[in-house]
Amino acid sequence: MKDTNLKTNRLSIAVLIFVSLLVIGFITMSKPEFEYKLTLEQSLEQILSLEDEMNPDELMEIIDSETKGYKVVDIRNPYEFVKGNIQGSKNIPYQNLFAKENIEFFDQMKKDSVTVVLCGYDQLEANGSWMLLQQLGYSNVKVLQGGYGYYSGETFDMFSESEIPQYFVEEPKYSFVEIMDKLTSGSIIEDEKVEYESIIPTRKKKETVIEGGC
Amino acid sequence: MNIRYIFFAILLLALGAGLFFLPDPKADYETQAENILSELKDQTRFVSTDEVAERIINQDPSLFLIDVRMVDYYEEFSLPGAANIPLEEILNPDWVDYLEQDGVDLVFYSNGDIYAEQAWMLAKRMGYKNLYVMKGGLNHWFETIIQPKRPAATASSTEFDLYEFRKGARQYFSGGSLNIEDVEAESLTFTRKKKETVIEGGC
Repeated sequence: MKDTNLKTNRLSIAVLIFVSLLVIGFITMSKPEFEYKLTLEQSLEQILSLEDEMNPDELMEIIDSETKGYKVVDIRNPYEFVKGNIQGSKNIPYQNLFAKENIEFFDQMKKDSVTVVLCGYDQLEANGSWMLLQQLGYSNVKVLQGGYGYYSGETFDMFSESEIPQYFVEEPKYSFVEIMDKLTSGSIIEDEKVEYESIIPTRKKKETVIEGGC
Repeated sequence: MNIRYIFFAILLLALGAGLFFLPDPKADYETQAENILSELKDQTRFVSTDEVAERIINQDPSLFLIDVRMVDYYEEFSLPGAANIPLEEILNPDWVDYLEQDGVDLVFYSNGDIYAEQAWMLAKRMGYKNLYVMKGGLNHWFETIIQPKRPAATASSTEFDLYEFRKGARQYFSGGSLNIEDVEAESLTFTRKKKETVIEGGC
């Protein structure tokens, strides 16, 4: 009798240890700090719909008419931001996107149902941050097509003859097939014939200053 | 004693049932958002058109190009050796063999670079490795490799070297039937001016 008692006691200790290990495991299981709210499929659908991409002309109108409910967030670094930015924009360098105060800001914007327009120098710069915020459930975040560069006119090509707006970077700018056909048939590309004038830089003479003492 | 055994059995069963309430196991192999952000910070995901051209010419076996444009675009023109995975279909399990290659750099490209980067973002979250984006896409490919611009005469010698490389690359990609008269780049000689001495007087 005594013997069996000892056995069951051992067994219960073993089970208790096992259970407590399991419980500790469950508690300390690494929980992601930022949980994805969109599945991959939903995220893909969201990108392809193009609904959350803001057209620069539309943004200009919004800013000109001072429409409420929009906030531009510039994700470039503070140095670039200070050099020039969109009127009324807030600077959140994308490197600090997940800092506590910034997440609080995005939470607040979502709560107030303000549309946040992310803007980088070009659309590419803001694309990653935009996709991450969307996947984390901030469905009020849009991305600016063409970015600040196009908006400010810096990357706008006045001489472009294309009818496609220049902020549609995914449109082919050239007829790839035509160019390749021309090349393989051996015709020289016009560009090659252009003679470049050589520019000889002349340095300005530094004026000498005669420094005297006393 | 029997009651104890039953009690333990029930306890373990209850714990086992608890496993059902664990979060979606899918989330385990997905790359977390904060890790993707830190990958965005270092710009190593971008490769230049020149680098891609050089690796194609050298027949680098560790380069695998993925064209994420629509099939029509791909059939019309694509880079040599590129596979076609339209962005719309990137989540399709059929492509696992393409996306899961050890020791191979997968370079996404599109006409611009937005679609390519969106494919990068999704594939990254799916947990694939060695993913890259060709910066500027095919539009930039045509501006640099296929129609290189002659640098200004005052440009540095590295720019001329790059131009020479691009001309060679163009010949490679157009099937080598091209004859371009080599224009000798005028070399500029700079003479340094002597610093004029300033007469400084002290007390």
